[in-house]
Amino acid sequence: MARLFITPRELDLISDLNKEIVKDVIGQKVYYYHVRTDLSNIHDVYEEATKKVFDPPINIGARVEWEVADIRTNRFGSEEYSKIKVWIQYRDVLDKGIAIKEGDFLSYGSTFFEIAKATIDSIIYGQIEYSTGYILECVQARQGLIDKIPHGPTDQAYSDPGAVEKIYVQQRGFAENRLGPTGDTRALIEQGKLDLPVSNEPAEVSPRGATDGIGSSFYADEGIKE
Amino acid sequence: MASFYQTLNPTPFGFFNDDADFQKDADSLVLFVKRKLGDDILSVELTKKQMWACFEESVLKYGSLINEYQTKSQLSNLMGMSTGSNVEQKYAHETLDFIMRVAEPYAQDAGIGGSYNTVSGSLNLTASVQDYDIYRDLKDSDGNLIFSSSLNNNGAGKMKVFQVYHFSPQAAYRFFDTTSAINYLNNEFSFESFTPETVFYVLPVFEDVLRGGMMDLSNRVRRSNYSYRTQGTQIRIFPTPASGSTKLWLRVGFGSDPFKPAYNDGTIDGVATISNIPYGNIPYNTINSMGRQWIYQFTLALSKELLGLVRSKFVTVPIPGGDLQLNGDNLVSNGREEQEKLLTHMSELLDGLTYDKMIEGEATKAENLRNVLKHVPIPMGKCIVIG
Repeated sequence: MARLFITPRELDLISDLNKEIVKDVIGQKVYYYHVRTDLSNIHDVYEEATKKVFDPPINIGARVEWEVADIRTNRFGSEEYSKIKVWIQYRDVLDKGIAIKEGDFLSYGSTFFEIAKATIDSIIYGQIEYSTGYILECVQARQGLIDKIPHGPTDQAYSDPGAVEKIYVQQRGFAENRLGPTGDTRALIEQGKLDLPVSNEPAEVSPRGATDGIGSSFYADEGIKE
Repeated sequence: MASFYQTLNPTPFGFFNDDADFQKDADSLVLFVKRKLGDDILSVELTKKQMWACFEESVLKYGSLINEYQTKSQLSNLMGMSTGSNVEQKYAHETLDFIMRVAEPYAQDAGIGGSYNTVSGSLNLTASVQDYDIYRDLKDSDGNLIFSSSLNNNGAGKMKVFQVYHFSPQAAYRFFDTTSAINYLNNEFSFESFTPETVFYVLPVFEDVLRGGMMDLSNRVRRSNYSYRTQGTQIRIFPTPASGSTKLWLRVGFGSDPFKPAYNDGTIDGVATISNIPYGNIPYNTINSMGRQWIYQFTLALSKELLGLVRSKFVTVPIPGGDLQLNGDNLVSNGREEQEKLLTHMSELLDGLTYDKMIEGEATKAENLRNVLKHVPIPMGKCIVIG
């Protein structure tokens, strides 16, 4: 579409819509682990660090396509081998100051994945400087490559806290929500074109709003006493 | 969040910006509109100024509808009045000015009123000459040609004969007593308007009037040989003048310039159409709760349409791994539908409340009440119910 009609203002709107659909509606997320090559001890010959040093994980809203696990059998037995494809919004990555790199890791559920391929998904309305996001093709990380405790949600079969995401809170451009800092920004709100939501806080789905035994409901009303 | 009061140029026209009630409602409407459009859960991509523009438009629309309705009831009373000061939301008295103005030309032609002067002039009759040219021969007492009068735009228009004084009035002597010699003499000396007779009648006055008219007409039609005929610029008189010493008097008028009556008429520059009735915007603080409720709903409908227009700029928005379909078209059609419903409702309400309809309603009410009273039992025959 012509630049006459798609200006930076429209791209801000598109970006905000993207963030809203990913963060405030879909609610899937991955935790991104950036490998600090400058701090890791890299083997001279194999050019790989057996003990990698990571930056603290960053929560990124994403769309995740889960692929059915491949079962591989060898002389040591069989192992499950998972793959996922992750879409991450380009502007969100920029806002968070992340440099997406192949070889970095991310966790989704209880599994850690290594980014095998990171490509740009598409450009927006033919404007080369604006991209929709990254497609990250990830393969299950080999055991030992990353030794971290996965962040939830992981599996409803587990009993540890956070295994099931019982509280989902929107971000809506608030720097913080009830779960803590969001790192979320919305261009139109930042520019003062739109206001923060009239509710003055992001909506959430949680047991807090359930008074009828359903277990969870929208909880967004202002002024309800806890 | 900046309130309406704190915002610079919050509305496009600014008609109501200083109205405290408008300011208060403007802030509340932001919450109302955003909440009704789901902003608590998902973003509503409308700025406050956009919503305030919708609010202002709604108030203007409401005022326009009310003024239109009032126009239907009041235009005839307001025609001709000064366009200077605003008279919206005022209960005007009914006048007959408009009807009288419409009736003026008929009165003018009947010679009993109107707004244009007529002038009289005379033709000098010549013995044995029946035909005279009114345009050429009719003159005033100073000998000036009537046709070239400034009243006739100096001879640029057509002349219209209103009256030809060419008869011998002789009804009076017949009216009272045809056998009285004195009456004959009175008539002969043109004293027919007076009568020496003393006659007592115990009859209604209209009887006198009707009888006088009948006699006058009878004289003109059956007994008089005084008549005339006009055609083109000519007048032919009957009977042929026996002598040349008399004058024939005529009263004539000219074409009427609708913007130049005989007097200085300021109403010509007054209210003439729906466009210059001095109806201003209705002050927001005078609108009652019914009106405000309509305005809130109309603001919401306009905002919905506006949000739809924003969202329908793109049919789909690219998102990572797919496209997002926006609901702009739905919002636009939904918003317009709601506006249509509100406008229809308001129009129907107002149409039923024009003064004409109210009079009809009152008449129906009175008729129905009479019917109801007919069935009220008369207590012990002591009460009289008319119906």
